[in-house]
Amino acid sequence: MTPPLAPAELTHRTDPAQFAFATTAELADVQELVGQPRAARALEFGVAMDRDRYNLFVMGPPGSGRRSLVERVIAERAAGAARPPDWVYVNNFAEPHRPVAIELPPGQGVRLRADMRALVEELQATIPAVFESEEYSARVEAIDADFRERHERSFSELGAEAAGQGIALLRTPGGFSFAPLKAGEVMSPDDFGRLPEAEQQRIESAIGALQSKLERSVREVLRWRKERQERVKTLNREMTLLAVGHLVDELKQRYAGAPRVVSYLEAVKADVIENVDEFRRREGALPLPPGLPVRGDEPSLRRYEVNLLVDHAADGGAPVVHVDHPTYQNLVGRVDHIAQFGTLMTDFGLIKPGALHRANGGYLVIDAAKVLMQPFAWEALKRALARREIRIESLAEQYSLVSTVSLEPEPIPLRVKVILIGERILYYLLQRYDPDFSQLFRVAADFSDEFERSPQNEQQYARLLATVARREAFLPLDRVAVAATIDFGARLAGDGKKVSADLRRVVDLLGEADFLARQAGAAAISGAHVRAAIEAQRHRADRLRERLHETILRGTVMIDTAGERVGQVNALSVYELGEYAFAEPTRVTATTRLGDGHVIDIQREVRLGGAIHSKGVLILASFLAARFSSNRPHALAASLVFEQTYGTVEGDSASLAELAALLSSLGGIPIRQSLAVTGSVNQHGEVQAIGAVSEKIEGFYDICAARGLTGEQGVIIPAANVEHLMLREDVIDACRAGRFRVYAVRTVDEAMELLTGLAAGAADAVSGSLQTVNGRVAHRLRELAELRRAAAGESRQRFRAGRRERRGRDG
Amino acid sequence: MAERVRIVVALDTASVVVPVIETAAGLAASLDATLDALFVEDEQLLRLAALPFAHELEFPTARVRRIEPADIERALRGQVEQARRLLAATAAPLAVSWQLSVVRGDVMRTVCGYAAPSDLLVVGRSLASYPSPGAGQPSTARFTSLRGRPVLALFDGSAAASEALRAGQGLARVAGVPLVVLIPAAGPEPFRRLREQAAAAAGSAGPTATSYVMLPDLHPGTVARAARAQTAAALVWPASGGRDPSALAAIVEAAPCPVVLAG
Repeated sequence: MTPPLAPAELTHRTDPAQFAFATTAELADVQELVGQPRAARALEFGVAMDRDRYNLFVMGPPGSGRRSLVERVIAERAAGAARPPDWVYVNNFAEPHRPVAIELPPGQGVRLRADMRALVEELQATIPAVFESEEYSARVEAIDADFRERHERSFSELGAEAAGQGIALLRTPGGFSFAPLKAGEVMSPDDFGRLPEAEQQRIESAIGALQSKLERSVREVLRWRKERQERVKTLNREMTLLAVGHLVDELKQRYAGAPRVVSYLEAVKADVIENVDEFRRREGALPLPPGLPVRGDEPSLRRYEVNLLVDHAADGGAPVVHVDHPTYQNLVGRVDHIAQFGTLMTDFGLIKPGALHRANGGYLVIDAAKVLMQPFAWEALKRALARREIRIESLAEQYSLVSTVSLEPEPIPLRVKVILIGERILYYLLQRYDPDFSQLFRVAADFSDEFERSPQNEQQYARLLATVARREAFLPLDRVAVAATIDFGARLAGDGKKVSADLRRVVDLLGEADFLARQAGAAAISGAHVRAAIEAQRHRADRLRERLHETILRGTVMIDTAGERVGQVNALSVYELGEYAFAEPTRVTATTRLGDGHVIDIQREVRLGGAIHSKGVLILASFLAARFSSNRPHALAASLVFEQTYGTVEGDSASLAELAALLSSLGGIPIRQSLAVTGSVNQHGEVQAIGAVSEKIEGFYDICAARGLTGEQGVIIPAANVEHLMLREDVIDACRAGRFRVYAVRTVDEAMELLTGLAAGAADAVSGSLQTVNGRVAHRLRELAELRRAAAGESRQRFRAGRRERRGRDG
Repeated sequence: MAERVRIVVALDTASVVVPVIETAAGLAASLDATLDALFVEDEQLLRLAALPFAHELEFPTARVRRIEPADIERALRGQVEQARRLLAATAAPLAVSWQLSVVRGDVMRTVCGYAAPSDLLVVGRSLASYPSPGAGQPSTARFTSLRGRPVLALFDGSAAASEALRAGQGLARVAGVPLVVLIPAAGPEPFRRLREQAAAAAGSAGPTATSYVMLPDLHPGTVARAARAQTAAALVWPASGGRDPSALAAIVEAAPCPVVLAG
């Protein structure tokens, strides 16, 4: 008979004596992540790999420190890297809807913006001054005088010529006309009519000739006027060049190392010369219509502004950008619009950067789930990485949702290291279904859910707790508190040899322990504070467990913890409520009868059994047939059920219990109800490990303890789970006192011996003793087989007799 | 109680309307005077239109078209309305009260007959336009035709000249432009004497940038040349010898700017 486990085997407590410090205040901060060397190496490689498409996917459970490690590694790397260039958007004077992107050395973007503002301000002062100068006035006056002189001379000469012929040149409301004179006055029609016909013809002819000359003069005046305008325009260009030329040349010299800036400045100069009136109309300019938003002091001069998209003037290295809300626009930028007269307008100044712009030349950290959930964001990110450029495209325009003026900003070359942080499942889904993913994210840093509980790691973990306590402004932990916290981590991992990497829950625990310690006026967090905090957490989440517990104790859910029953065994079910898990016993019953070898899983029949559970049932059916009916018909029909369960049963951890119930039913062997069983079995009857072993033992213990421990009660677990045990102290105390027991078994036979008190015996109906479990089962199965054979023989005889009778009738 | 000074502004088809009205309004504002506009429908034009071969060469299209008296009548009514609008727009910001009368007759004779000796008479006519002010000036600004150009006042030592000088000074102050005093003198000494006299006459009229230019004579051609050289905005001429329509016509036709007849 298998002996119970010794108390020392029931848990894997951390020994506080191994720590040399009194409290964690004595420990230095830990820089490296505890127990994640593979992920750390992958991360360092991925961050250091300075080639395109070597972006990273950092996967692992939340709270594993993956984000902290990412931040630390890229911060170290970024601090030593060169600052990337600044980027500005400026107006494209030739094609305003395609703004020009200019790269500048870090810090030069803000300088160019200031220089351009200063230039425009200076031009606003200089250009009017130039045009108000005496020199300009004199030159315009000279042009005007020339024009006027020619104009006046032309009309004077014509007037004089007309006067010489007794004809006056008169100004009419619409132009000019000629009229014959009489005594210095325009001749009346009567006087004209009285003139001899020859004289009338002479006058009309003379007027006709003068009119032709006047026509030529007027045309000449128009030509002179145009010529004057051209001369003034040329003069204006010369004067503007005088004002703008040296200012722009100074800037060109300053930015001689940036050819695109020099080209831009040339374009600015040409545009200023072409549109000089906009600089001249400042004084007394007409006010803007109401409702027109004004940006800058002169709306028309906004085109000389510099839109500083990315400014690295104040940065100390490569940028590190974390995107909390990775929408399409937050990633690739956007072009804003403003309403003017009811129309949406935009210009290059309304181009807004995205996270890719800000992170260009550095690192971009994105939550994988968030970017995948945002419409178009994931595709946009991949497109940018694949093209190696940031192209701002309006989604609304792409999908024809709006019809308004928009821009096509020149794309900006992209060189960024993207670090996606997410769950493992996302990584594998992307690997499987997104062919671009593996091309663009070539490095995976996989953070473990837990790490080895080696002495070295425990010392490191103590330093990690010291770091956390300092960072979170907790009281320091004494060595017992550190040991208790490590034990808590091991319990989270569900493994006595491991510690959970979920630091988030440890921080939450320490926060509560700190609160308790401060309430008690303690100088440090003690082990008692940590244990009280664990208990408080458990208690807060314990409502459902207590409710189930109560239903068992009141007999509503029938669970026996004493006596013996045939075909009935206590299994253990785990309930997971978020991060909290607990276990309660569940009654499993089996019935057997003559049949054709089928074991009916009632849970599966009513679709309340999961696939893994069904698999477990099929395995145990196979085990039965193989062990007991290898050379005879397996004439068994059996039914298995989890009594009083109303939800889905999943997992195979009850297959040992189910097999025990079956064997009990087959052999008519009573099972001790003071024991509960957990474990899965294979086709050879070997017992295999299951999860949440500690919770399961504690679940049965709590029921037994509530009813009164008898010393007979206990739990049978797989031997492979012994190293996972991290039982509560009260359970261990009970075991130590002999009031409760935990048995570790390797085979079904060991479990059956414990459950029935009988030896397992040989699985042979001939040699097997009826005083053994297997002997009884074998005998019963042989009986069933014989019954089946006999039934089959009667059937054959009835068939043959019937055939003879039919032949006799027919013959 | 002194009677308010009246500014008479003569308008007709050949008037260069904007500078003339601005000059008149500026004078009215500076002298706290009333503005009396007289639009003369030139009877010579009506007579011309009645001639059987009357044609008009349109400006600036240079298209020739037949004109009838009715065309001229209609066009004159349009010009009167235009003048009324311009007067209203110019006088209102200066708080100048004004009126517009329409008469028919010979322009110079009618105007000289209409204006009393105590009135300041503003006339500006030309076959061509006056020199335009600097390009790019805002259209809402006052005195666009006067901006940047001096007001010229002719001073010959007469009582009328003193009045003309004060009128010119007032106009220059209101328009914010300098004053140039043209002094006809045979030599430096008479010039100096008249200059001192002019300075004394103008002394109490307030701060206005004033310069003095000597002229060899008072011939309209000489004065007109000086006005061109100075790019004058307006020329204030003392009516020492009375208001002879022919003399006024000679001055007005020679001058490159509105002429103010004072005294």
